[in-house]
Amino acid sequence: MQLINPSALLVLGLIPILILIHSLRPKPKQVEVTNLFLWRQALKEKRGGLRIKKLTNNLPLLFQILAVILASVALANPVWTYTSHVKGDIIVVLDTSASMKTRTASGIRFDQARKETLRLIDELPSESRMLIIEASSNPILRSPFSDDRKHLKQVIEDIQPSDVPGQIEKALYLALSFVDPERDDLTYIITDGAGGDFEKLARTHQMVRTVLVSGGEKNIGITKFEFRQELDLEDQYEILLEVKNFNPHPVLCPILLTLDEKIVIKKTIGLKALEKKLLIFPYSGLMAGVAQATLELNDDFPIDNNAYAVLNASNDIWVLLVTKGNFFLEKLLQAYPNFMVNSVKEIVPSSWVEQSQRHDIVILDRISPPSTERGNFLLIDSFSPSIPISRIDEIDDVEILDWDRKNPLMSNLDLSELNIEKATIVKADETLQPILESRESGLMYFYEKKGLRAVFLGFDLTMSDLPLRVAFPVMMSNVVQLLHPHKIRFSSLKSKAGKPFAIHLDAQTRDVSIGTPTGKWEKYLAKSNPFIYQDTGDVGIYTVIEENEKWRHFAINLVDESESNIRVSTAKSNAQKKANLVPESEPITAQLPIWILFLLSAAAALILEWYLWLRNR
Amino acid sequence: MAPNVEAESFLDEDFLRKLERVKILAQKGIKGPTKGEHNSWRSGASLEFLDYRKYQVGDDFRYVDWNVYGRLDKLFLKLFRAEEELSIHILLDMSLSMGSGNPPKEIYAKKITAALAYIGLANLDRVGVTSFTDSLGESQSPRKGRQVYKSILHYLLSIQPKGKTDFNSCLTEYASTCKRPGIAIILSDLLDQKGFEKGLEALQYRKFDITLLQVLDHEELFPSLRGYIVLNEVETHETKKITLDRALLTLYREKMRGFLENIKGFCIESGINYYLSDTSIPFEDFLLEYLTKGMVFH
Repeated sequence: MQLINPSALLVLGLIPILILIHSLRPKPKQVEVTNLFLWRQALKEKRGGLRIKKLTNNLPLLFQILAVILASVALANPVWTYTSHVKGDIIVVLDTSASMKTRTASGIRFDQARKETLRLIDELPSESRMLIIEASSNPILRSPFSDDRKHLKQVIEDIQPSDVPGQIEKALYLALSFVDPERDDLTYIITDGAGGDFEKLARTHQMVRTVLVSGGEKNIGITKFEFRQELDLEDQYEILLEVKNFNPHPVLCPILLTLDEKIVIKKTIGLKALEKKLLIFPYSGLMAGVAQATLELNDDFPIDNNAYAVLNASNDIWVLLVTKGNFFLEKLLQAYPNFMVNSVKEIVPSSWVEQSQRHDIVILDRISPPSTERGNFLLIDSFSPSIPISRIDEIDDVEILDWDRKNPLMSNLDLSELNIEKATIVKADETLQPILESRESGLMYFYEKKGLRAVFLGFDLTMSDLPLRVAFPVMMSNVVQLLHPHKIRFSSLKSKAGKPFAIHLDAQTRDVSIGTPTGKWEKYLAKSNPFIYQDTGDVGIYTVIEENEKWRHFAINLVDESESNIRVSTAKSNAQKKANLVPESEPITAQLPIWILFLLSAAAALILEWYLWLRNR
Repeated sequence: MAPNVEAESFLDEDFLRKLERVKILAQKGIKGPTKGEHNSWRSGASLEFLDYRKYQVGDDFRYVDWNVYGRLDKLFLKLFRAEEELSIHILLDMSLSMGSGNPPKEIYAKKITAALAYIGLANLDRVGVTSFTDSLGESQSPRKGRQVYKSILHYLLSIQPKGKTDFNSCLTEYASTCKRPGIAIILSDLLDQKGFEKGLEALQYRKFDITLLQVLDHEELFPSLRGYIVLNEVETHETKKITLDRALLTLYREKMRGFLENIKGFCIESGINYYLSDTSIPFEDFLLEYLTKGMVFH
């Protein structure tokens, strides 16, 4: 038994006071009696059991002392210390990050982790429950607290490792939120230690145990794969590849770079122990298609031996310009090399939906369109029933009050001296904030709902000096960039495993089918544009097919240096040993608070004392 | 009752009227010097026929049954039950111990004394009252006549508890000095460590018909004290510090019960009427109910 708060034993100081009080006798009461001989006889007989009587007379004091002792011990918060493998419940954090796919002599690391977890389930005491958290890019609660071993084992069997970098720390925080400190719940992290730095957090919590799985530590990986277009030369590109040797010895690393399966670069580099090398390859010509960097070697962690990118050279952007005539706008649109502009002077309502959805961007100049559910619109002094902005009045000589400098539409713009001869006073939905505003009304808004994106400009360009200013092409560029960014310039469609990827869909697309590198296809309802795709757990090339049978790709890579560092460090191994990682070899010390027993005993002693007092009255 | 209480109010008139209907009985034959109201086994001059006997020289011819003589030609004397005068000796313990109690035992005992005296006097008996402590006190010698009641009352009111008790010596002395034994009614708490037997035996030796009324306060019989106390003996002024708990109280009550049983046993063996009076019982009830049932009165 241990006392958590031994200072409470100072209460024992009451015992001498009790004895002192008990030894004090009140002034005896004088009572006149008519005889003493009978009293003497009674006293004489009573003395026969004097010793026992003395004891019984002092029993109340003894019980009071006992009550003080028991109460002081109860205040000292006694705990019963005993050894046990497990006392409370168990929370298992199972690492399913990419490094758990590292090949070992007997399979992959995750097999070992699964085995350890199943062993924990087998050893789970009958009074304990287990909660299982999968530590992927985000923690996932795979099973709530349960003592159903069959169910727990099935959950573990169903969990598979992914290609994503791990976030053990996040999972550990989630696990700790389930810990009941009163019950001494244990948290087991079953991991290979690669990825995030969770050791510090684990060390600060006494009831966290780390079970490290190891094996297969040979790795060379791609940690960066980027493409860049030369600023002044459209057909000149730079390919950036970063490779790191995670082994403690030098290696030769053959590199193969392909574009649409055509070899672009093939070379072998030498890497010293733990050396990281950044390689930049120039490329001339059209850079479009699926690019793949491959380290042609056979190490224990193949996921980072490949990196992918889907490269788009700037594509044609189809623009529908609806205007009765706007010299400045037409000239500007012609200036963009990849803009294909169709200009009409009026809207045919019957074909409007089809017409608008065939174009990437629709610019309406002072001509209001019918209702449209999807599409990218620039409304110049025109009003759509689908957009909650309506005309109220007109004003002359508009003075610019302010603009939202943080809004991408206002990027690199200075509109302080803009002169507007005539503008429209509009009433906009309360959710819309003006991007550009005068004293009387908002002059520019951005609206987005599901597949409908629109920039509203509340004044006629020809009734202002904006087309004559440098701000005009900049603003138009910002508008196009916002409405249809992925077609503006060369882009590399790739992301990191586990991160959501934004897929820009055509305006008319409602359903989208996505095929993963593993060959699995899923159909999704495109509720927004861009569509945010979440299931990026596998490294490789994903295929997107829209309703119009247009297909394209995007790439998901690991490129995570900490995840690629699959070597279990000596420090981590030592930490594991120190923290009693193997439960059956060194049982934990558990503490059971027993203050309540002492408190109840003290109360019982007081009740007995009271009973004796009543009896002796 | 305070000593200065008026003698007339000591016992109320209604109660005295009730007492006139009762008579103190002597269980033994009483041998008095003069004729009185109490039957005697001795032949005498009453109208109640007792027996015949042969004439002897010197017998009064007035008692010869002439009818028998006519038939048998022998002289037989007709004997009648003698009616003799009864002397009632009331011995009242007035030691300091009798002054304690609630009500004080002495008041209780004085009231009983006054009532008994009234009964005796109403039945034309001689009644005398003698108080005693460690020695015999002033005595009201047995006299008869209703006027004696007042003097007895004044006597009772004049005496106060004092001194220690010496029950045996006082009663022995009384037995030896009393000229006309009769009924002896002793009122005492009998709380004398030296005992009571010798005194009673001395009275018995003098053919007293003894009735012993032990007067005890309820608190003496069933003490209700608790805690740390100093017992102060009222007569000897001896003190004893005790812690009075339930166990000691139980022991004391056992001792008191034994003490009373001892007295009762002695009295039964000796043919003495014994009554224990708890002062919590109204003395009128004690007098009319207990003593009547106990054949002290009829």
